[in-house]
Amino acid sequence: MLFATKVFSETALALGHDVLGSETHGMSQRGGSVISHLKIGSYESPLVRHATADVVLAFHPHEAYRGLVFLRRGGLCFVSGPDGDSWDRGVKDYMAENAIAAYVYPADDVALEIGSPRSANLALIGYAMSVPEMPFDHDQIRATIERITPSRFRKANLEAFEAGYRRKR
Amino acid sequence: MSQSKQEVLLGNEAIARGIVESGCHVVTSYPGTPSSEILPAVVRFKKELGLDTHVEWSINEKVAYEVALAASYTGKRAAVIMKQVGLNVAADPLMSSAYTGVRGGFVVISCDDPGPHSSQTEQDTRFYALFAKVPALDPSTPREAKEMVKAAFELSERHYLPVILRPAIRVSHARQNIEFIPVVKLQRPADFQKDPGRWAATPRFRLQLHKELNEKLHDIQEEFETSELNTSVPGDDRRLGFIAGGTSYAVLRDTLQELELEGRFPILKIGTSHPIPQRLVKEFVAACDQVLVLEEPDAVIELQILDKSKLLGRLNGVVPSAGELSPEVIRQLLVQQANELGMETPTEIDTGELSQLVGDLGLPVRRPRLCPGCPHRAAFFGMKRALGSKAIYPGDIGCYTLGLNLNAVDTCLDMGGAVTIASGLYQAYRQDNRDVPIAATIGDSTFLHSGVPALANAVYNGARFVLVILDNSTTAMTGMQPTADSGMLADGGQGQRVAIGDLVQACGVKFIEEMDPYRVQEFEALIKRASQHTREPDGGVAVVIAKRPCVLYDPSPLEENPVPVTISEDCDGCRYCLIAFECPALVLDEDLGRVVVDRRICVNCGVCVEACPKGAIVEAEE
Repeated sequence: MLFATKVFSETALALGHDVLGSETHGMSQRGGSVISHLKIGSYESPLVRHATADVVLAFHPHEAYRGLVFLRRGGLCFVSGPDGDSWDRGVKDYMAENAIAAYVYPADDVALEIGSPRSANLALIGYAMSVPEMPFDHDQIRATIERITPSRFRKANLEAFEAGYRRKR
Repeated sequence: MSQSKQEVLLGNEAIARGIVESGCHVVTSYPGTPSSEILPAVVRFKKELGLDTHVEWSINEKVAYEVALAASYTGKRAAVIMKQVGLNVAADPLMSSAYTGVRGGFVVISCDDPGPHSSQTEQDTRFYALFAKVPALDPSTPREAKEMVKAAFELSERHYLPVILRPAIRVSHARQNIEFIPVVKLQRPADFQKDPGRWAATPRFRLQLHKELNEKLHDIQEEFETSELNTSVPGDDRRLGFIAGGTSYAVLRDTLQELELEGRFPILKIGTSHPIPQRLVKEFVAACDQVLVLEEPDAVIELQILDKSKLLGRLNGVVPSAGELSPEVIRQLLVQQANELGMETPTEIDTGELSQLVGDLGLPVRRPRLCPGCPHRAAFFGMKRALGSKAIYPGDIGCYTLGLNLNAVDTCLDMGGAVTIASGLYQAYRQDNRDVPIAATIGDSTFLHSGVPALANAVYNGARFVLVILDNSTTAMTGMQPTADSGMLADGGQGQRVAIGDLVQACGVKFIEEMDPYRVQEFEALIKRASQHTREPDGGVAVVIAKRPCVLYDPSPLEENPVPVTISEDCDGCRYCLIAFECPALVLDEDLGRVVVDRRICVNCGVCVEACPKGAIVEAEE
């Protein structure tokens, strides 16, 4: 989670943008829901307010339900979860009314298949980057991953990212 | 040279960078969320730059405060770092050192936790500034926090006073790109100049020092009237103005922009929470019809404003008096004020509907839990099996407060509170000749922090209870800081080890035994023997040291000797293990109607074999 945030914040910084974000430490880290906020551009407060986020990345379907509240009208939601349409009907209507596009991708399975379950977040990022509305492009994000991943995980992270980008199972 | 180096830093790392760039010589701390990452970042910069900064994890905040203060006595720059409730522990030297004053710049960094997210109170550090009569600075962003560290050292040296820097959690745990300034070594050879009327002042001199303190504070207030630490944002619509500080100022700015009200109303940003620039504030208030005061977690600026007739804030119930001033809360306040002025604000998605829908889904609430393989779980489980639910279980501050989930923590007051509450409970029941088993738990770092005097007191006054010291070799909750028992120092060097067992013995405890709590049956028997000792004629406090490293801190014992388990057909889905053992790696498969092991998070500790009354959790065959 923190690494996923770092991928975007480091990319933004490398391209000359200001970044400001917020993360969770302490008691809340012991198994509770962990939310990381990131704002790119000129801001004062690190917190993203409800109904204002452009993008939500959720690493579990339950977290997607909890994270949706942050999305603005027309926002994007990427969810790591099993294939198939399993959204709650009412939530699905809410997303349709507010032009929120949700993409579900089995990032955990993909990462497991390429033998690096810990790289699931990178697979989801790769998948998200295949959607043209995302900020930054494939090469910019890939360059950041190459730069900031410790060498022993680099190959696995890049492989997961590319698998996601090519939407490969 | 190319442009200066920038890095995305945690607010706490930015503060550390400010400490190092200020040439600070001595930095001490006791870990506590949200302050814990500052000292490790000082260590990082010290190593990168080859500095000889003295850094230490002190035993507790009072000790940390005094060690740093003494460095300031010698003319060096010093900083002490803690969380807000840590300042309660260090309140004694804070109050006194305000009178004696300091020599080298002395900065007290105390991080607040509005919410609270990871604390027992939402107390406001800035009240201590009023109480002790010292200045307090309140940053809004990591970048500003770094600058304020430098301002705090300079202010401290201009007026010979401790200066409090109060970052709130949304500064400490924010991340922002921060510019690095080259570090210049500040030459300050230690030079303690004897001045008994100051450094050893008796009450007769203290009156003089109090008068001196009042003068210093007056001068500082004058200085703050024109200080760059207080800034204003112009606005022509004077029907409403804002006085804001810290995180609330940052949220206010972003929210005004989102509501398309940026630049409309005037804002006075107060960076010097104490003393506030009275004239500046008075002029600002005079120019507005009404002023909304936004600060957290309490009404420190608001209380200092003399004429409150135009204020909207916590004191008249406009601003909520508990909980974080989140962007959602501040937006609601702004929309309400705008509507009262007859103004429209942009419409947004109504997320209330969504919250309702998601609430109705009944998603499992992910409450914090002890990790899979946590030795505390094994210890709590053994204790409960030995003493049952009739016993009273005083607990303490750390990961192991989560023993609450296993019904093995009945009280959680403050650092060291397990030992004193156990003592007091014993004395209260003894008075009525009632024998109620009491079994307290305290972590290794917390025991060293303030459990030792509590234990000496218990032995001295004849209290009888079982004290289980949960020794996992580290300060786990706050991010694995080393303890005195490990002997490892803040910068990774080796110090002199202070053994917990030796301290317990020195407190006069006669029953001291150490055991790995993973040996559940033997551990249960040990707790029973310990409890028996508290009842014997010549018995007293019985101390059991449950020794096993934190699985996150040191996973090697489990990697070397894994005990994988499997769940047999005998599991009937009774949920006993889920409730009494609560390991995140044991989950009920609703379809199968029985418990399964989540292999992704199971660490093969094998302790859960003890957790099934039907013997359905068994060691896996090779």
